Parts: sequence; C-alpha cells; structure tokens
Amino acid sequence: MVAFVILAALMVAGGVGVVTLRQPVHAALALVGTLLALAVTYVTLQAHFLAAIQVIVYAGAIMVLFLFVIMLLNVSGERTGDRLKWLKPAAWAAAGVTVAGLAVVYFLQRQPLPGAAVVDGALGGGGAERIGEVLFTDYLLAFQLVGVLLLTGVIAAVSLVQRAAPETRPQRGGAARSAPHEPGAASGAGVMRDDELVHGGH
Amino acid sequence: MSFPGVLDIDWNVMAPAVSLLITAIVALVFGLSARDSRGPAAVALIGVLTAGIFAVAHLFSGNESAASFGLRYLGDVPATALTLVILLGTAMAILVSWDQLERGGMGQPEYYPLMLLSALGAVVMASAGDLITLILGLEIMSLPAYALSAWRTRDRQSEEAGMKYFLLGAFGSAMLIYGTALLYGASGSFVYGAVAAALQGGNLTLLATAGGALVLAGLGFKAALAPFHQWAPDVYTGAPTVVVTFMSVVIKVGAFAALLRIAATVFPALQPWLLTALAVIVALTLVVGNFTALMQRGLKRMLAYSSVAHAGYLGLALLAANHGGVAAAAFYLSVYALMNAGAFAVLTLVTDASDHGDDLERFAGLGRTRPGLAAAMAVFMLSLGGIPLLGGFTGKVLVFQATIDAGHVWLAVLGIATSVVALFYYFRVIAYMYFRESSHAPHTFRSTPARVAIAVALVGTVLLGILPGWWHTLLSVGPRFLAGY
Repeated sequence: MVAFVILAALMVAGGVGVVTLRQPVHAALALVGTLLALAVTYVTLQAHFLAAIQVIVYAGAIMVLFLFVIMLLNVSGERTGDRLKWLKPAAWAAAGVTVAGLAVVYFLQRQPLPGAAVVDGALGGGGAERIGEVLFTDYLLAFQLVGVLLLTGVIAAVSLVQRAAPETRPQRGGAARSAPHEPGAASGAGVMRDDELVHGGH
Repeated sequence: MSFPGVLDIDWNVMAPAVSLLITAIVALVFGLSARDSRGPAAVALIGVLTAGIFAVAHLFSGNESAASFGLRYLGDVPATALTLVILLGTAMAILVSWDQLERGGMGQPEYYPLMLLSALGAVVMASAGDLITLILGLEIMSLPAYALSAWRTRDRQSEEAGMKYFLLGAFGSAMLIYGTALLYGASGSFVYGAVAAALQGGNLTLLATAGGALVLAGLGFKAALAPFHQWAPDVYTGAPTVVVTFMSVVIKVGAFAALLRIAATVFPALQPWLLTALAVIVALTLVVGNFTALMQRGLKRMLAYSSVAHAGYLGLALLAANHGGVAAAAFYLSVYALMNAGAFAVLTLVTDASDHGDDLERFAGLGRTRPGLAAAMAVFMLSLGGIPLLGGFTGKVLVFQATIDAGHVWLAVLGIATSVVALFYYFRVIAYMYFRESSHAPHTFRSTPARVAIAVALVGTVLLGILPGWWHTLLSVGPRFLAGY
C-alpha cells in the first residue's frame, strides 16, 4: 500500500509535469517518469510481463519516437501569446472540480483490494501465457479491431503526409485549385511550406 | 485449454463489416494504379452495396437475437437497421464526391478507402455489445474523419478543421476511455448487459455513475451535444463539403447508435441524477443549436448548428430509450441521413470548387436559374424544419411522442417550441431561392452521380413522410434485443 501511494504520487507528479512544463523535451521526460512508475506498479501487482512490455514499448520505443519528432521539428518552448486570457484559469478550475469529484467518489466507495492469492491466481504468475489466452479468446474481436485501427491510422497518416510533398502529385496542389494545370505555382507553395516546417523554430 | 463460447462467429452478422473492410483494402490497392478517383469510387460503391445486401438479408432473416463473439458484436434489429442507415449515408457521400473530388483537386487515392474504414467504424459502434468494441469502433470511425477534414491541400481553414477536430476528438475519446475504466471497476465487466446486471444489487453505483457521466461526455463530443458541440461549426465550415456530407450523417449515426444502446441498458442501473444531467444537456443543445443557427449567414455554418439542433431532438429519444425511443431515434436517423446528405449534395453543386461561396446570397434566384436543384433544396429544408407529409415531421412526432410517454413533458414542449424557431432559418433559405433576384450568375457545374444522390434523398424523404409505417414497424422491436442479454 505504501509502495502504491509513493508510485501514484510519482505518476500524478509526472502527469502534471507533462501538462505544465514549457519545454517539450522536459514534458517528454516527465512522461517517461510517469510510464516508468506505472511499470513499477505493474511489478508490485505481480504482472511482470506487462511491466516488461510497458518499459520496452512505451518508455522505450514510443518515447524515443516522441523525442525524435521533437528534435526534428526543433520545437522550442516559446509562448505565442494567449489570445483567450480566461481560458487557463477556467481549465485549471475544471480540472480541479473533476479531480475533487473523483476523489469524493473514491472516498465514498472505497473497496478493499483483493488478496494476494486471488491476484496471483488470476494472473498466473504474470507471464505472457495468461495474457495470450485472454487476448485470443475473450478479447479476440477487440484484438482484430485493434489491427483494423492500426491499418486505418497508418493510411490516414500516410495520406496526410504524402500529399504535402510537392513532387509526388504537383498537379493536385491546393494553389492550383482554380487552374488545375499549374504545377509551378503548386510546388512553389509547397517548397515554402516545407521551409517553414523545418526552419520555423529558429 | 478450452475455448468458451466467445468464439461463436455468426458470419451473417459480421458480413457487412467484413465487406466494408475488404472493399477498403481493394479500393486502396486499386487506387494506386487508377487514373483518377472515379475508379476507386466505383469500387467503394460496389462494396457499400454488397454490405447493404448482406445487411438487408440479415434484417429479413428474422434472426433477431443473433450475435457474434459472445455478446460483443450484436446483430439485432437496431444494429442492422442503423448499419443500413450508415451504408446509405456512405453511398450518398460517395456519389456526391464522385465528380467533386476531381473538381476540387482532392483526388488522392486514399480518400475512398478512408471513407469506407470510417463507415466500418460506425458499423462496429452500432453493433457493439460491449464497451471495448465501442471504443475501438469509435476510434476506427474517427481517425479517417480527422484526416478527411484536413483533405484540402494547403488550405488553412481545412487544416485548422482537421487539427481542431483531432484535438477535441482525442479529448472526447480520453473521457470515454476513463469512463469505461470506472464502469469496469464498478462492475467487473465490459458487456452492457453484464454491467447493468452487476450494478443492480451492488453498492458501487456512485462510482459507476461517475463512469457513466464520462462516457456520456465522451460520446456527446462525437454526437455534438451542447456544451460539447464547439468543434462542429468550425469543422463543418473548414472541411470540404463532400466530407461534411459524410461526417454529418455517418458519425452522428454511429455516436447515437452507441448512446442509445448504453442509455437503454447501462443508464437505468445508474443513479438517477445522470438522467437529469442528460435532460439538461439535451435542453441546452436544443436551445443553443436552434438559436445560434438563426444568426448564421453561411449555409454550411447554418447547417452545422442545425445538426447540433437535430442532435438535441435525437437526445430526447435517448431519455425515452425504453419507451419506444430507440425505434423513434432509428427512424429519425434514417430520415436525417437522407435529408441532411441531400442538402449538402445540393450545396456542393451551388458553391465554388473550393467550397467557398456558401453565403445565403449565393442562393438568391436559384429558383429561376436552376429550378430542379432549388426544388430539391426546398424539400430538404422543409423536411429538416419538420413540415407535415415529409420524413422530418414524422421523425419529430415519433420522438416527441416517446418523450411524453417517458414523462418528460417539459422537454417535449421545449422541443416543439424550438422546432418553430427552426422553421425560420430553414424558410429563409427557401425565401432567398424564390423571392430574391440573383446578383451573379450561378454555377453551371453538373454531376450525374450527385443528381442520383439528390434524387434518392428526395424519394426517401417523401416516402418516409407519407408511408412511415413499414419502416417504423420494422424498427419497433422491444428493448429486449437491444439490451444484449
């Protein structure tokens, strides 16, 4: 229980850090902290396989990707002036109300945790076997749908990125909308845009 | 290791979704070598029709309690009927996009596959019998919608629409997932029927109600219920009109299909204040949608707020989910799909290739310059406003009747009062078309597939208005099948 409280505090602190820190790199590192604390929580719950996956996939692969994107885009933490001054306090207030509401629910309806023997029996030692069994029986539909979801995400992302490259389909550029056969105008606009993208942060 | 009954796959139930998935992949591969976007459009249309044939065959097979994967994927009458509505909306959107994509320079080959995948997600949402399937269906439906909103290359407005939709949609998804986690924590199950059964005797209803509130908010984002409607006007205005034709129908049907099922099964087991909150949300949606639509000059923005208002009328049916509200909502969604897609189809033919020029002035004198289009638009506006003998009227009557049966008389009165307000902004379009002189020459852009779509919408709107009985009888099965147990 003590371990859980410490880990939960770490996770919440990391989460708040992700939202509040100005520098994107700092926010990403705060996210690493949250993900690692979550992995340790899995260990304390005897879910060893899940913990390992959490470290390798989330804290490892996905975070590296995040950092790569941040570095490549060269995003700096400059602020671009708040147009809506009331928005920030309102957001904090809404978050505060939500947290308070959930805290009230928690204290009103606390339940004792199941005993260690029950957890151990359900998880089967925390190995991959039990997870695989559940994944391919009870949640087979969900497993297949996640596959479709990933396919969808890849197609959507590629279609958005690919058309921004002007040399692939210049005749379909937005600048040539009124006169569809003006590749020069379209690719010109495209070059400017890519330039902005790369050097925008300087 | 023994496999329990969760692997019972009824392929009749799965057939529409599987056909959509296969067609999306075929259209994607075919699109790589296609000369323009009309070939993939034909492939997509064939796929949607195939899925529709499977759905109709299943609907009339009389196997009303069919399900796959345990109770995680349902093939009951509401699911199949709403699947048909989704397929209808998708077919209309394909027909409207047929010539319009090339005209607007938006003919990238991924357009139709993404549209089919989005429709697949909506079908999964309509058929979902548990919360996990619902979340995955919602994401499969939403991701292509985000990308399609930003489809117009190098158009700031379109990019802004995609970005805004993505951020707010992700926020809504996060709330839905959090709510699902709380519901699971309180009941130990994801399947709607089992969640409701576990909560009946339990003492964790407060926790479950907090989860239900978050689920309601998350789905409210997709359904554009106030105060979660903020994205709708900007996305509808910025996104290409052909995409809005698709989104305004399919995403709304998907979101309400899921909301209806949850409102009929899980919500009655939760604490009653959640239903009070839902009533307040619905009332707010009716007022905000209708009164803001009054102030719009651009037709796309007006139709965006009008779609918020229609979400309010559908919300009335949610409150009456166990008093005939499901059949009323399914009927309303069928009519809404026809008349709304029809109105957007007319809009694509009247506005510029870049979708600009949707101002009311553009419709001045349309009754003289393009009488066919103007007459169709007039019928859609009258139906959206709820004039008798058209489908929109029948849908509203059914919804109000269900609301009164469920004991929410004041909400029904509010609904009728706001319908009268709505008449004003729908009539204004007709007045511009017939009683104003046009200041500039109208577009002469013509598209036979778009005309087919408008004709289908026109016939459907009138048919559901004068002969509503057969479709409503088909939809009116008891809540037993909907509950999924």
